[in-house]
Amino acid sequence: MNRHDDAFSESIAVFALGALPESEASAVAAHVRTCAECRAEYDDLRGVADLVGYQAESSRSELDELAAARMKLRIMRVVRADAEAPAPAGIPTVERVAASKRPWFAYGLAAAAVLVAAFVSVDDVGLRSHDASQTQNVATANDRAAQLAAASAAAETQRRSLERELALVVAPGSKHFAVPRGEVIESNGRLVIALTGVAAPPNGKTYQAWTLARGAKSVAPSITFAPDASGRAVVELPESAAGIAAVAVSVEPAGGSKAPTSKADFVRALT
Amino acid sequence: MARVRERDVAAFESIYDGYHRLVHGIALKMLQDAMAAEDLTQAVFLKVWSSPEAFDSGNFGAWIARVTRNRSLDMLRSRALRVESDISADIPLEGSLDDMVFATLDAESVRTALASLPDDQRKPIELGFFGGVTHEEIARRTATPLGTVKTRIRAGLRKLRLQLETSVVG
Ligand SMILES: [Zn+2]
Repeated sequence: MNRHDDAFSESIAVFALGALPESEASAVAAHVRTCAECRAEYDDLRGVADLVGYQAESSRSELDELAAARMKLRIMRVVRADAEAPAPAGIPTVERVAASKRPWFAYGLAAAAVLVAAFVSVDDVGLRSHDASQTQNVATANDRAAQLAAASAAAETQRRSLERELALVVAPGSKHFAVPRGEVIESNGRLVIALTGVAAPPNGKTYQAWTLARGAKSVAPSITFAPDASGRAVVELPESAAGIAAVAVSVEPAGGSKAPTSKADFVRALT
Repeated sequence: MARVRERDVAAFESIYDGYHRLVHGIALKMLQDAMAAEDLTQAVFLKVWSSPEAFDSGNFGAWIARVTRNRSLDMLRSRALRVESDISADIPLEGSLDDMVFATLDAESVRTALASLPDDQRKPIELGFFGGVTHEEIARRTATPLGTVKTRIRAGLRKLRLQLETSVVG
């Protein structure tokens, strides 16, 4: 332990708050690491300083239920997709991506891994790169590439389509239109329907999407779909978003219908 | 958080439910932009999911508040005076009993404790946390000598700690 220096005492609280300029912070940090007296003061005040953030917690008026639900849906969709990707144990997604110098598809990383990397910068607190473990990560990623190469063509197609849908859903500039249990997303000229808590359609039935062109008198048939085992459905419509005024979903006989035969689950105007 | 490390989606979801208003509120207050606040909230929670090891011990709420504040500062970085925040974040906190007790605090008790501080202590603390400005800038904005600003921040944080301890004990 180094000798205590009173010159630092007055700066510890400001440092704990995170309001010291860089030029002074390095010296204070070095002193705090080696002086027991200042270390105790820092420990006392740092935890309190962080709690100041609690003051800003959003009330219901600042973050209404609808916005909260939309935000949660966006985040949970990425997290669930990432959790379902068969990731090598113990290696955080971001590090796998950070470790890869080759194009991501060389490793066959799951769609969500790429998405997460786009949102989470690798220079963040606690994400200092570890050279030794990176080498190992690359090796593991190569194993994973071999596994994926052996995967069935169907799984690969599904993966690519999920990746594309997720990319659209979270793309910057995408517009989100809330519907019961989810949303319709307009992104890069494409339309995606994203729903959770969807019951499996009755036997012999399917969900079908419909589009209403601007100025049209009736809806046009779009893609049919079913939720996955956990009740989620994320589907990209084959139609371009251009000129589409509304999107609807109804339950139809398997194979789909040319015109709706049941009341729509929802009709959502894209405005 | 241990379960999040094991890629447990339900554990992540309960953490999200518990803290999304805190993260969103700090981002909104600092960025003053609803869309940017949503994007930042998403980035913070995806970071929690993808690198849960970044949080090692102590009060999770305090930790995520700091991470959100620093991410928001990164976004606002274009301003002339950059505040060093990463250096203090590098020093791991000794997980004291108090900090664990503080984990039971809610936003309301923190607001009450902050409100009990004299204005000349509370304002520089809020400016330092949410404004992301240095003590020199705080001194300039509040037309107060630098040494006085330092003393007030210190006295304010100490008082805040006492108040919070009292509110935890009841
Ligand atoms: Zn000292």
